[in-house]
Amino acid sequence: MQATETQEKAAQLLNDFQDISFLKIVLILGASFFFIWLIRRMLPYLANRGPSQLRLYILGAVPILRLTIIVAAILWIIPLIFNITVQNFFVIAGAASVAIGFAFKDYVSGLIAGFVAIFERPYGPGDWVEIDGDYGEVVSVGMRAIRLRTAADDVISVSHDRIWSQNISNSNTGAQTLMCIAHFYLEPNHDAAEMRKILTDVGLTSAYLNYKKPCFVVVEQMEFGTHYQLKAYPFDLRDQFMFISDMTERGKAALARAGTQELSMAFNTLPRNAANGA
Amino acid sequence: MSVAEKYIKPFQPLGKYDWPSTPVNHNLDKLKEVLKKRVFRRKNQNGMDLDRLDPAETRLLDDIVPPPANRPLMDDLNATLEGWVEKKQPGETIKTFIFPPCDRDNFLQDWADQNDFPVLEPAEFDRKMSKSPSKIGELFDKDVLVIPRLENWFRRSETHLSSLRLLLSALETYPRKVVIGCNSWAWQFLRKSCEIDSICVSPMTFQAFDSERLSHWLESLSSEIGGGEIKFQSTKSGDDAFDLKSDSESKNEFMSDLASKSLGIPWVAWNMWRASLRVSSDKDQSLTESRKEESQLQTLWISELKNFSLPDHHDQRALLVLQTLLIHNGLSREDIDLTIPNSHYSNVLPALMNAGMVEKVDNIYHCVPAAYPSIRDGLRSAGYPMDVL
Repeated sequence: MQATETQEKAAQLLNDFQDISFLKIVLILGASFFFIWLIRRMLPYLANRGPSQLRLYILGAVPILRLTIIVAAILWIIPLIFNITVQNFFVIAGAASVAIGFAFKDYVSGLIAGFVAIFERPYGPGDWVEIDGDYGEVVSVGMRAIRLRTAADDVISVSHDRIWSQNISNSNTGAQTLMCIAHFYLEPNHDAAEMRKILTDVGLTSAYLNYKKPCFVVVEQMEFGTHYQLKAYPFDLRDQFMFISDMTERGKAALARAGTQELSMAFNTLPRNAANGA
Repeated sequence: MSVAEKYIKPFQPLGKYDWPSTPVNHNLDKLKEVLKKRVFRRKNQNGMDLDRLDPAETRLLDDIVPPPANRPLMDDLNATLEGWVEKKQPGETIKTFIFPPCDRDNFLQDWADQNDFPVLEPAEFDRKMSKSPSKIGELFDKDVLVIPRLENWFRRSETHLSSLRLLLSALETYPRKVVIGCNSWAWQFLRKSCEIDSICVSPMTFQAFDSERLSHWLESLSSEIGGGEIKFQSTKSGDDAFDLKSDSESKNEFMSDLASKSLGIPWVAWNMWRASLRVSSDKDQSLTESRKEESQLQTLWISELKNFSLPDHHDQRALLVLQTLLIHNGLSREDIDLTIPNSHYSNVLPALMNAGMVEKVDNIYHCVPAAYPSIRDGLRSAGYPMDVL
């Protein structure tokens, strides 16, 4: 008699309707949504107003805290609704697999990729990344997608499942700074050592310069002229475009003072056969 | 050891500065103070209502807290260089001293004048080098050459570093002793841009002024004028700031606060101290005429130290201006435009002057010494490259 009762109880997928505390479930969901909302509002607010050294750490805590709250809420709610046994677990898992396989494959792929991204960290809030040609700052990391703000102030949503198939180029990987490059294309007949010295001074005297990072010039001889890359780091990665503009503006003026002729056409705008020297 | 000798502290290697209070501690202290005021609110019988006080006049301040604001450092420097100056061939020919910014009195210049040492300024150097570029060793016949402010030798611009680089290469071969002074913000910039630390090795700085040392110095300044005893009473508690008999905790409260807020820098503390002094107002009807005069002469009230507010956290232009002013220890409008990007279309200077953080003296903009700790905190918070002491 008792064995039959246990068998029946085990076979029952859901708890008895009158045993399910809907008020409790609603309260758990409400509290979870509230805390997630609070974290998503408060932490970015604090990050942008607190010391800049802590900004990326505070922003990076948002997805981790949100995941923790969601997992805790799910683990709390499931036993309230389902009668969890090994048998029932397989039933639920099987049903969920079919549903996911047919209807929500891409969505769930994004969710799983989002879960993996939190730990593998190909990007995090505050990082500057390039995905599929879009370069911008990661303003938020959601469950299914991230939101990038580009230099043109466009906000782009990119699904996490891109990490399965595409290269993610992260410029700072959680660091407070990133390398900025100002490009200069000069006609080939000049004193390259002198040009390097001038351009290095341009970088070293920028108001945005991070003193702890290197500042140097890379010279490359091209078919049509000489390509100079002034590479340096700003003390705050949010200043990267101002920093590049400052180096470019002052670099152009310094090169003009030195009597050097800049080329009017960059390599990548030349016709392919001209660029190849044909 | 006499009392005066007890307070002479030789300079120490750069990086060993004992900051009186970290910003975190400072904020905690402020929070503690606010809570204490709210929880333990008590009526103070001996304090003074600020409405009955006026700021002390400059003439009176010059008597009671006379310049220069760096006087105690003179003995410290003499103690540091004792023996080195007299040596004919010391192992180290270049002595470099790093100072925090905002010293208006040019401390090393005064030290050189006192000791009758020649001072090298950029214009003179350029003139002499243009005459005989390879013979810097023959330009000065004195044993010790002083270069008081290295920050005057450059501008943070790719076109304005040549004089300083020429000086550094000349110093490599200079056969006599050189004493160099440089402000701490300029030093960090020059380390990056000119690798100055490979020529000026082992830089030194003074030891931070703690509450005891500040108290001794400020008390000695007022006691020098004679003509009767002056009391410095706190507007909060009525306690005498220098009274040794008073409760030690309350006595040191103001001086500890001063040491902490001034970051242990004498000229910052000196300016804060002067700004905090108040005299009885003429409007105070409770005093008779003769009592008013007597009161003004004998009692000076110490108000709470002023807190400066930086412009909005995101106003990058204001912070850029403050940083360049610190590096150069003051700049003209044209030089500010030269050293920061896009300054010409901003009205940031008037805003900073209205906030009491910047002042204009002889067409040169300077950071206000008393505002330096707030400026430093603001720049640190925004992630700017910091000075090291």
